[in-house]
Amino acid sequence: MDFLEQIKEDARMPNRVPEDYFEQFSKKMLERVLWEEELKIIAPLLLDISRKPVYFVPEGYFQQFVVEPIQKVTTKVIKMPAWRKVVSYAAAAAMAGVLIVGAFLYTDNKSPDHFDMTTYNAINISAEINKLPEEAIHQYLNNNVIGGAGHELNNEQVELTSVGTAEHIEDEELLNYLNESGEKPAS
Amino acid sequence: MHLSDQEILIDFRTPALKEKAYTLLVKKYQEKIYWHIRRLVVEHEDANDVMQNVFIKVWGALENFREDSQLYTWLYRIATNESLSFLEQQKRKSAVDFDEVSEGLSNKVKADAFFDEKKLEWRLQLAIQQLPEKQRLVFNMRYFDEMSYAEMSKVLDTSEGALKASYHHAAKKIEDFIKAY
Repeated sequence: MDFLEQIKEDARMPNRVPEDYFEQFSKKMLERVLWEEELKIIAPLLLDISRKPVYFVPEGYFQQFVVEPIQKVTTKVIKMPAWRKVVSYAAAAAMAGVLIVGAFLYTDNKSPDHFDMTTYNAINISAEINKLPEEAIHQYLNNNVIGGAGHELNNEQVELTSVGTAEHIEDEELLNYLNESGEKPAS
Repeated sequence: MHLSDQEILIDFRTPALKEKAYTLLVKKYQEKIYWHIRRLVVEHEDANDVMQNVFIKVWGALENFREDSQLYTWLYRIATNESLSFLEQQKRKSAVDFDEVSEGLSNKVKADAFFDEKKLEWRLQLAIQQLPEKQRLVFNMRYFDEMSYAEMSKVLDTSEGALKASYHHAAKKIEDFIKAY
């Protein structure tokens, strides 16, 4: 019976009762009488108390009640095509492969655990330094040792042009300096 | 629309009518089941959570429901088990003894927006919370839902004699509590 037919039937029989109502009626009446008789004997005070629900229930709760997860279950789920699943898994596998190989290569070369001490101990450092040209050593020291070019000592910039050379200073300027500082010029 | 339990079950087993039959079933029994749960767990939010779980289980199990028991009895059984599991979880979470559980439930009753301790109905609710869990369950089913001992026996898997004794003890204790309040 569809919905419209049901409405028509309800309209024809506005006082329709559940199918088994009359069959159940006498049984229920007897049960009710027994229920009352029992309570009259054991706790008659309880017969005088209203059994209507007393607790607060939000307005419209029963009208609006839905079983939430069932709604989700019955919502149509659109399936992903099989080829898209395969492509997704392949891309994930390729990415995982790249990461694993990359991590292996990186840890193999860079980790201190993999530093080859045997090779390091076999190097004769003094002999290797002696093979280097002196100019290269000077260049290295100038560039890397504190006090070399570009480094600061006591916050003063060291100018290489003034270190160890007074040749370009005029005699007159030297005499002035010695007079001001109270030192006698060398003869 | 007035459908008998039998008609609802037939429709539920018909794929095209399944959802409609389920909705009718929920609408038909939700209030009875709700109040059964609410009397046990007391707070509305808890009752709503438990009722959600009950009807989720019904959705999954109704297909295989054996019609050797009434649908109504079967629903009560699920609702009772879910309510007791919920209360058990609450007890385990807070690790409290019976007196503390009883006090906690009484406090929940007193916290209700409509609570009025001058009214006998509310004193009755407070008295019910003083009972041990099983007695509370038996009393609620017999006193509020007027279930026969035979039906209760199917829901609780307990003999009718034991249920009758439990109900009589509970009713007497409740009356004494109300008189002394």
